[in-house]
Amino acid sequence: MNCKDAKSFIALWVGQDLDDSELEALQPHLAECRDCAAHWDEMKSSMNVLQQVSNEVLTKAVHRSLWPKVAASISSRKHTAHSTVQNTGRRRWAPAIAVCAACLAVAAFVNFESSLTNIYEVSHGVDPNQLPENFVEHFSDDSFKQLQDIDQPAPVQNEVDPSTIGVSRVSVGKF
Amino acid sequence: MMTMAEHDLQIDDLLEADNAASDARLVDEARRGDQQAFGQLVQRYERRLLRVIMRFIRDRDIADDLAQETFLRVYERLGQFDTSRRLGPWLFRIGVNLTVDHLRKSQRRIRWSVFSDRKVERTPDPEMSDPREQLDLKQEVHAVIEQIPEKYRTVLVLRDLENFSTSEIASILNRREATIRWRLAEARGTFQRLWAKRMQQQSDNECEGES
Repeated sequence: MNCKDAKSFIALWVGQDLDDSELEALQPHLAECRDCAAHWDEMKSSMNVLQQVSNEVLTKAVHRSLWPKVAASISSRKHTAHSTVQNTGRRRWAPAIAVCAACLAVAAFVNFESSLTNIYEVSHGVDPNQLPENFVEHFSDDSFKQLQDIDQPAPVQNEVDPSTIGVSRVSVGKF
Repeated sequence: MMTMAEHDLQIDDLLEADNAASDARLVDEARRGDQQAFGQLVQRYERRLLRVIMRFIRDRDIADDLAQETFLRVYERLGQFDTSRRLGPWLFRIGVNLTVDHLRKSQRRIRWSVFSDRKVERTPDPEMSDPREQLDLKQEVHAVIEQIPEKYRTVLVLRDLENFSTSEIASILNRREATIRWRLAEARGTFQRLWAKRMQQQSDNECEGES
């Protein structure tokens, strides 16, 4: 056995961590090597210091149990986990709701576009199949006014001028 | 004929086996939602766990927090625990890992504060006595242990200050027992060198003071 191995064995032996076969291998070396024998004495001395510290009482005699705090933390974490599960459930529906909203928006836009086609047809007397691609840009505010008038009965030609009616009503009011 | 020591060892073995069986029963009950069963486990291990943590961290409040966090993690992971094994090493593994992580973080903070706040540094006043001289043996030993690299220090503390066996430490640190024995030999050798150096410095200082 060389001194390096012997010193490792000494470090284990000093804390009773060496088995019998290792001890048998170490002892002949210790008997003839003064350096390792001196190291054994030094190791014993430092081990004594560690044992003194090991025996000290670290925790106070009156010790408050950690259990009440641990139990409270377990309950609060359970509550948090429960609300997280609920939130997760809500969040799980979010994509489906977003897809539905997007579908409704597309449907509404398509519906709106076909309404515009009908308006254009009604106001300009054009076959919708022959509409230009950018017909939407042809719409002016007037076209929308006509849209509002579609549901109204068509004005009768050669009837009384509306401005006259207004004047007469005003004049009636004056009387 | 059986000696008294052998008789005591047999009793210890029986008690340990009884505790292990009772731990497994309490773990089963806690898994089924019985919080009081877990409470019994906490009360069974809290003193030892606190002792172990306080070997690394001397601040009682921080040690309490770390012990509490250990039990919370144990509770959350009870489902993963194999009841055919002993609870103690598994619980202490969680506690030691949390403690070592805490130490690493706080050391990083200290290094950063030393690096970034140089104004804090003061040159020692030669008229004042060295405050280290007033430290007692326990503080001296802790100061030396703190100089040992972490992987050796952990083994030294668990074996020589807390009296865990090398096989228990292997289980706590999730390493082979041969590795633990090698680290232990290195740790004890390093402690001896550092301790001898410190004692030498102290005696040199005392000689200078007298002359």
